[in-house]
Amino acid sequence: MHELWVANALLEAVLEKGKGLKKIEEVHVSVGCLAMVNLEQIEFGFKMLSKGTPAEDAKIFLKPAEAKLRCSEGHETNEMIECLDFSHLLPIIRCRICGGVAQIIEGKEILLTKIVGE
Amino acid sequence: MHIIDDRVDILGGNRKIAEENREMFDSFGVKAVNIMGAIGSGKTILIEEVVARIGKDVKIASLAGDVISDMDARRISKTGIPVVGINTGKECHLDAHMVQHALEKMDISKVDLLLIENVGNLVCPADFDLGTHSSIVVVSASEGDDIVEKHPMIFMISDVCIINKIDIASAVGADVEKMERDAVRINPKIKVFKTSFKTGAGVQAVMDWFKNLLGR
Repeated sequence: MHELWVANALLEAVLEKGKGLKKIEEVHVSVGCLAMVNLEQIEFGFKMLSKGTPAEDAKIFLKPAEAKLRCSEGHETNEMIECLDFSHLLPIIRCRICGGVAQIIEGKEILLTKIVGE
Repeated sequence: MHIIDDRVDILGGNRKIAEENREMFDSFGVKAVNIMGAIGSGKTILIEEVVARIGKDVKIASLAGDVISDMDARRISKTGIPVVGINTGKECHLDAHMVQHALEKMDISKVDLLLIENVGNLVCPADFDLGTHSSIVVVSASEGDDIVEKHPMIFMISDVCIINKIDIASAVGADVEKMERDAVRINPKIKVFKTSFKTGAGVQAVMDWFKNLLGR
């Protein structure tokens, strides 16, 4: 729902990291699969907001990242949960091993991982 | 061709400002509470009730977030406490930066308890730490008794769940006990209060929670 906020924060990070570059060609982003954001909307927002900046024509690579879950029994699992298609896990995220309630250790992060430019 | 390899946390900018807000609150001895919840669930009346019931002993101030209006801010200001309205414009949530800006318009040194009313929304506010010490999520029977299980993330990150309008639950066919069970199932640590701010049912227990937060 707040993809425009994410796109704006991403653009700020790209322009900060790519300071001095005349043209930013590629932007690589790792999106935790439990970040609950729509990737197409982030890309669209980035394209709109980046007009007139060195990132204007950049290609955006949004790569979903696995979530790390830990249950009360101490089992840790890595799961790739399809964004916006995890209703089978909810309202509680359960441990795949014992079925207990699992906490999200990783999986909600959105990380700018690489910029390519000239 | 330049390749810049790094890991920049896009949501980290908000977390950093949230930490600054928290340090500022701590330095002035202010307890801050993020009040989130559904539209029309009773967030504003919760603030009005806190002021009415414990406002004599506690210096309270409020930030009121709304998309385009200042109706909540005006309503809260009638209770006599300092209020700053935050118009989020296109945004569906408050973030730590908006809170930091709003605090520039308030003398926080004269405040014991800061009540921040978030935008009515059960989705987005869950992702934005404001730097508060506690988070409350308010829902009500009139939203239907599946409202909790449909929005698990906000219950996962909240300390308190208030289920309001229990007086009309039977009229709208909502099972309040189910709502409570869902909240505890999603977050076993969450403290649930069942209230009616209209009749006063269950409200004193909420006030006791606030007093406990303030160490009184």
